[in-house]
Amino acid sequence: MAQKMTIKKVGIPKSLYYFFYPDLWKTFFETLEIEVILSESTSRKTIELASSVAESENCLPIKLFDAHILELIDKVDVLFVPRIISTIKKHCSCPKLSVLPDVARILAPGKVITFEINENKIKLISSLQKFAQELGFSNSIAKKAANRAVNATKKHTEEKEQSKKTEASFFIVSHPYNLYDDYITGPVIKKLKKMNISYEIIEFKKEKRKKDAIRWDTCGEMNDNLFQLDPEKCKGVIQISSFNCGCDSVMLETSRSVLKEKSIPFIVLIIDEHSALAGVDTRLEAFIDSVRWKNEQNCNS
Amino acid sequence: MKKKVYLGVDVGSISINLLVIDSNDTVLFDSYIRGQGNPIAAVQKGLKELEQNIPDDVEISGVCVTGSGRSLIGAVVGADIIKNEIMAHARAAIHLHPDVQTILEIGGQDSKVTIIRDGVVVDFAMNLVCAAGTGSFLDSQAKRLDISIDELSNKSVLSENPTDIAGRCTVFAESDMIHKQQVGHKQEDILMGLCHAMVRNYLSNVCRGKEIKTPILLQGGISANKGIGRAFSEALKADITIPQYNMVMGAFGAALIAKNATIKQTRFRGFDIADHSIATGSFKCKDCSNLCEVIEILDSNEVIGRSGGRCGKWENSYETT
Repeated sequence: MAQKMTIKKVGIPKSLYYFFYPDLWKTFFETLEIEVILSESTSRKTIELASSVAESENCLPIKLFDAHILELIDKVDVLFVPRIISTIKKHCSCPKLSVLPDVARILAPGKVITFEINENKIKLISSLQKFAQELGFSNSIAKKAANRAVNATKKHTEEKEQSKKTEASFFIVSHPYNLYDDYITGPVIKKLKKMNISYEIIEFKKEKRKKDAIRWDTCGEMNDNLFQLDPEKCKGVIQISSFNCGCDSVMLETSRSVLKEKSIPFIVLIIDEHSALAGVDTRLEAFIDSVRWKNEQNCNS
Repeated sequence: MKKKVYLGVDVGSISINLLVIDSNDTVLFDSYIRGQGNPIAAVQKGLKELEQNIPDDVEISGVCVTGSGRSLIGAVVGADIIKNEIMAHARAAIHLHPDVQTILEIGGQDSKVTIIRDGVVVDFAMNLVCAAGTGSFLDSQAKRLDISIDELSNKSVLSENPTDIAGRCTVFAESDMIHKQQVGHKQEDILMGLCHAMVRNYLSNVCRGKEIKTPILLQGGISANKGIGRAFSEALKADITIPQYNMVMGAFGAALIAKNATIKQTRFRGFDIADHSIATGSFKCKDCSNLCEVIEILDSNEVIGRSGGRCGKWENSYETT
């Protein structure tokens, strides 16, 4: 057994994997009696820091990751940054997620703790347990932490499922780190509420999927969700995509074709750090107007 | 009793357009004013002109404001409806050409394509962050060649052998254009080349994946440019229709929207706002770490509207719907 490290405070950036696995990391470290410090939610300040330090060719979520890490560095003993290879068996994740610890080490040398998430090789619950052991915890404590952590995220998803209200007319899709970051999705939701539009946000279940599914984990789940939409109920789909997203550049065309086949109106909103809300407002208004107009026409004829 | 008329205002990045229709959809007044970065002064000028040019026996009974500056100017004039420009342009296009299937609309900073089937908007797209496929591209190139935009329009159509110019980015286009000048290409060929570059750019960026069917209308400020019409027609191998009121279609659509809405009592603030001293101010809200810039519109030091701020608490008096 490895020498137990004395970690009092671990920092977790509220970006990327934080949104992939809600409640999981906090539960895990707290069971190990390590205090968890989360970075503050993304704000204008985060965006400004991100655009001043991050490589300009990157997508917004990756830039934000850098800023969240920087915010935490001086507040914690270590930063937790997993290496994400795959979150669903037989699938792979965005390749940028597989080098996050390496990037974090440049920003915070000697302060990064990491383990590999690769469902192709080993289940998350087992890799978590191994990780806790590597940090110097006993078998039984490691097992307890891994179990609790995985259950916490399961519970979170179940509660969300149950709290679902009546059927929504518009469906919002994006990667989890865009969708659940209020700073990114907030303006879209605010606008929809203002226009009295009922909406639903895609859930990521990380369940086993069909053989012919798209093998990029989040893209595949988004695509599956679009496939299941009922054109009778769903009036439109809004996809939020970050400028320069490599996965989306390949996958948007599949969303478009799936929805075209179903005759469901579709719009892509591109986001970047310039936060041009006027653009989002105009596009969303016109999108909703066109859908309403079409429905009125159908009702009249 | 006074005759009811309806005012449409389109506040774009380059121009402010006003148009008034009566209850039979007849256009009584239209104007196209270059804003020069001061939309408030431009709309005041427009209102003054309007007051002088419409008959005395009419009364503004509804106002709709559209365009990228719609919320600001909406508060200034007292809009009953604030509508996005895509819907406004589509209303006017369908009104004048009920069989229209595609609207190509290029403005100063925005360019859009709107797909219409059976008189209803079914799809649209707008340019992304870059202004390369918009009117400002031609404006800046004309400036660089030291000719007016009218000359550009008239000269470009004389070209027999348009020069190939890289138009993906204004910076590249400029260096390419300088090179072509230096190796001796005729000016009209270069100008037509620019039009082709812009149209190519627009078609590959904005119209990607869209089914462009005839009848096709070309509207917005750039539709006055003959070279652009020719370039579209050649690229799409189709006839391009430039509608009547092509320069002010957004304002026309807005006026139609105002007329068709049920407005009991207009919020129009009257022609005398042209003489008010209206200014904008701003402050940084420090209530959270977003530090939003909040814009205030002041009419003789009284706040008539606020905008900006992510949380929405400052947007008290006017909103876009």
